[in-house]
Amino acid sequence: MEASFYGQYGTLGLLVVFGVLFYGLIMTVNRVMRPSLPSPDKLSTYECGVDPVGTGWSQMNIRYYVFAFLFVIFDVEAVFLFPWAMMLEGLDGSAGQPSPVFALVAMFLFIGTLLEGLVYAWKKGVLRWE
Amino acid sequence: MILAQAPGSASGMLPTPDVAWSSFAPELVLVVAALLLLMFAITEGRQLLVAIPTGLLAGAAGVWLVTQGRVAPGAVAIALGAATVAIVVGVGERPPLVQAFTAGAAALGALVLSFWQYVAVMAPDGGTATASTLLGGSVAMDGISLFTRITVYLTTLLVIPIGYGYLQDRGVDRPEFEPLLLLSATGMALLGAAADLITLFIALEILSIALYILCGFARRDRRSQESGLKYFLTGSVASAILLYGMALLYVSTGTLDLGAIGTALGLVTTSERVAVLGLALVTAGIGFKIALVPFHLWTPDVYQGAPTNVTAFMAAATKAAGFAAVLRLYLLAFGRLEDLWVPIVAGLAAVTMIYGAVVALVQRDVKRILAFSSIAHAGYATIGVVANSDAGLSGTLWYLLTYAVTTLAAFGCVVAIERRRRGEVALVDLRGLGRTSPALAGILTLALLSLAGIPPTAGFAGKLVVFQAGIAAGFEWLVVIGVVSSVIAAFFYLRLMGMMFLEDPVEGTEVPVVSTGVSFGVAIAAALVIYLGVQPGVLLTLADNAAVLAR
Repeated sequence: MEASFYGQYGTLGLLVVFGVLFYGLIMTVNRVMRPSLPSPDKLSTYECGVDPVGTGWSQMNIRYYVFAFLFVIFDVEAVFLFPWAMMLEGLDGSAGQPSPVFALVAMFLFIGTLLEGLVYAWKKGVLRWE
Repeated sequence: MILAQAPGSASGMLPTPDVAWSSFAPELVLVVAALLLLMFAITEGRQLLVAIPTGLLAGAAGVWLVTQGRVAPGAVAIALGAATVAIVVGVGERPPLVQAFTAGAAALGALVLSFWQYVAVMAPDGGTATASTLLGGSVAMDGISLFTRITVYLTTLLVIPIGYGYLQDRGVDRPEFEPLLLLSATGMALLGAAADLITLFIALEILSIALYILCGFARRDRRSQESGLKYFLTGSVASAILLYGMALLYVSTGTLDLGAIGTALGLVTTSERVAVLGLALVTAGIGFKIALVPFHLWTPDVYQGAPTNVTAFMAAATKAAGFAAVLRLYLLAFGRLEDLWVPIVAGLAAVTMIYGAVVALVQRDVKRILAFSSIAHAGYATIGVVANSDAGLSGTLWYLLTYAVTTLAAFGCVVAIERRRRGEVALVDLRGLGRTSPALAGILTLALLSLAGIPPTAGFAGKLVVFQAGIAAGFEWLVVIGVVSSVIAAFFYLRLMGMMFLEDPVEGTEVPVVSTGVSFGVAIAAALVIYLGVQPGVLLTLADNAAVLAR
């Protein structure tokens, strides 16, 4: 039990090590292969396409908040979707388990509830930038 | 893949809880209604496009339920589906009225389903209810959940007509009001039914987040803004403290289930010090929600600034839901630590009763007076909690119901007066109300008498039962303080009545605006105040029968 417990963390650690190595490899290849033509625009800080003006304490547009909020809702939805997808395969409607159709309908009800929030925001004009 | 596998199951399947739909059928109605109302809000003029499919779906679901032998819920579903279509066809050209009627129908349906839960599921043979926990032990069906539902849904049902015209007068009759109200009521009912810490916290957040918005609903009004912001900031801090306390309880007991926490706290292996710290933090967090002194500081400002119908809803329903959580936490989870919390909570109750009554004496604003009166009433209800007995449990539940109908009648009258004043209602505004509009003054007097606890009103019946439970449990000193506090409080209730009947009306004031909605809501609340005072038998027996805790 003890060994398999640390074994699982070992797998995770291996993944991290491999990820770091892979990232380093790709960036190195990129650096070696690419042409180097720096310009003032390219060298400035990248901030999602907005010109970096002023200090870090400037006020942000409130609209970012609404977009971030809507994003987070659907991001969290994905967290619920993954275990559901894992479970759905094994459901057979026997021995106290819900049937797959039930699980499918339930998940679509959940998604539909969240979608209604998005439709509401859309109709209220929250998604329009100007 | 190894990480994803649940221990002890060959197929890698997680255990799926049995979904007991009956345990949250009323909340289901409210959530569906809230979603429907949001759809109504964005389909200007074409609400039938939403109403007809929803009505058909609800009707089909109802027919299916009837064929499955669930006649009452099926009938409710069919009736609500038909009502949705009928409302849109009938008053479709006035969208605010559609929202109000649909929300009211949903609240009524939820109320009916709550009684159905008792009659069909909890006590099928009549008499004492059987308590059970469902949905994997996260939702309880017992006296606390039943009474919280009745109180909360009754409040919702009455607050909607009371606030309808008021919101229009203030120009804040946005269609989002009713969905938020229904969602908040859902959270409150779930809080009454929550049998584990996670459900409890999520229910608390559902009700709080909707209420933060409702408090700031008159968003052009500075006092409403202040109210919303204050409630949000202090409420979030209280939630964080509560969550920290829950985490410590989990650390010390290793379980989230309230009953299991109660069992684990009696074991020698449980780290008592951590559990006690958790108890202290939970007391602070939940004390904030029910406004016990010294966690009450938000109450006057929030109650005064929020739209008056929201204040009525908060005073009546939030208090009931908060106390439901308090009862379940202290009687069930902290039962073994009673030597520790009973003296502390009793002390808090004493301070709360005295403080609420004394500070209300020097207030000039009627909403503020009622806010401090609600603090004092939280103290009276706490007597039933510290009694730590079945009598105390049923007493507190019963008290909260009587307080809810009383405070609804009082705030309903304030709504009618405030519509004339366009803003706050000061004490002097009540001058001569007994001559200009005797009916309104009469009902307000009745509500104030009930708040003071004068027979034969609901307030008297409520106080009597709670004080009896307190004496039976050996808290004579607390009951004495309660009576003293009632006497102090009676002074300012009497002063309000004196303003109305003994003084002359100020020249040139208009009579209050009493619309159909206000008179409907206030009349029912006032009738309940008298009925519960004269004939407490029916619901009191229900409270006694329902005084069972799901362990």
